[in-house]
Amino acid sequence: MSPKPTRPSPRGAQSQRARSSNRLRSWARHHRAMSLDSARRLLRHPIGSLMTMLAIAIALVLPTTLWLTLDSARLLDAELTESATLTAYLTSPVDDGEARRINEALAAQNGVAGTRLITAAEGMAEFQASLGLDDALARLEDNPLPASVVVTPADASLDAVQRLADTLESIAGVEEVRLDLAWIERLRHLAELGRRVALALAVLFGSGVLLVVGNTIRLAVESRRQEIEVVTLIGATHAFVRRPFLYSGAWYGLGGGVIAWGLLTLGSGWLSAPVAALARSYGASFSLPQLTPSSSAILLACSTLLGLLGAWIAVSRHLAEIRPR
Amino acid sequence: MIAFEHVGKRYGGRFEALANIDFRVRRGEMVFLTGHSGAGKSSLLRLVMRLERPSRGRVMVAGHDIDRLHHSQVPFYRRQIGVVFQDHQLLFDRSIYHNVALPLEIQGIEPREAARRVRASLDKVGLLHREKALPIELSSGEQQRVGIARAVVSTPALLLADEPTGNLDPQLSADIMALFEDFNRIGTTVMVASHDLALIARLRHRVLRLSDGRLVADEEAA
Repeated sequence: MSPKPTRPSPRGAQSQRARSSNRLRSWARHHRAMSLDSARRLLRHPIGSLMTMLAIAIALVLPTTLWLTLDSARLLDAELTESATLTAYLTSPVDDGEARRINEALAAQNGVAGTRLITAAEGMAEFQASLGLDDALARLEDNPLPASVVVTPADASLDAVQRLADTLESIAGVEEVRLDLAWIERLRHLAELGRRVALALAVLFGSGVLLVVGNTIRLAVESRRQEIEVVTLIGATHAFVRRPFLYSGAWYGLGGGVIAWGLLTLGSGWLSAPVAALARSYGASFSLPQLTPSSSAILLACSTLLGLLGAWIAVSRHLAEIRPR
Repeated sequence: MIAFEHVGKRYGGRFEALANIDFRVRRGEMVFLTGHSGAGKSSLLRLVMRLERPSRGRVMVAGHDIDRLHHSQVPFYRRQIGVVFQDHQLLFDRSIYHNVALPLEIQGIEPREAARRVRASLDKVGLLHREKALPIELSSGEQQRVGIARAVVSTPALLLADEPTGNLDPQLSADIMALFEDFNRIGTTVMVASHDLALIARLRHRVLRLSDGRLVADEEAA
């Protein structure tokens, strides 16, 4: 007998390989046994387990909703940047032939993908159509609107658009170039704010999940105290003792994730009709952010990991306290 | 097998549980540890199991100073010692079979091999027919025998028992002691703490007598 783990015999690598493959097999066997055993323990108290999972699910729903919303806002943002255009207002008064000439000059500039001329009369017509103020505008004697050219930039990044605006403004016949990107900028700041709020909430609610799982596992450790003492006395390693509890934590996390997924799917189904109606009334098509297969996978992976981590923290803390009598 | 070299153990810096304990147990020997309750029998066994560490002196087991084991090696050290407790420490949520199989499960023994050893061990203590029973269905004498089966299932070189007959009537106690003698006969070093002086006297093994934490007598087997 030796108090140290027996060393591999000098008989060679073969027996050592056999031994380590044996050890690997028994390790895998214990993992399988413990994952099933902890699942069975959860099922033995279905109401209690379900309540824990529900608590986890509820904690996960809010940050996930925010995350999905931001994700679709990011897509929207990309679309908006792509459709960003500049408007060059021509010096009034200008006749249609002159306006067309300036339009061609603008179209010939570097970094311009396309142009569209809006003459003063067309501008008035658009204005009337969009505002529905026919009577009031009809009372005006002169058309006060300048002719304008809508320029689509080739490079839609903010810097490039800004540079292009400066170039276009220097062309003769162009009074002013307006780039209405301020609101895109504002939207981005808003999105950044949203991202930070979402991150803070995710951290907060993630800690909530850790606490829920941690507390549940703490009680489980407490209720199996005698078992832990006995197996420690007969030579169980910390990893061996910890394993069933880590699996319980992972199961709780996974269960909570699945319930959260169900709640989110139900919720988006419930809200989609009014959202679509609202969007239609604005003449827009906007749909609620959906859980794609990949975001579902991320949700489940995160919830399982949170469960595992919560269990790890709880077990490590309490194993240190449990010493065989 | 076991060597205590001037071992002292204090708890909380004041209470002296053991003082200057010095003895050796040869490999294959059977030794009784006796003394009134509180004399230090359990403390001594806890030192051998490395549940406690000596405040002074050295505890050598199989030639190694077990105080110098790294904490990650301690589980592997304990796997080589079979321990029988007074309250047998069975797990009541699983069958006799699974209680006895526990040490093998911890050591990752392949299930078929484990089954063979569990049955051999249960057969040895005469409880093979109860393998599917739960501990609660067994009498206290039978429960203690299950505890012994669990302690010897991994064929340890050293078997420790702390008051294994504490709650049993004289006949059952004698049966349990006979079991220990059987294991000793096949080469296991056995150390039994007990205050059942009448029984110990009949069995004619070496006796270490403790009193107030001191080794007051070391009587070789008659």
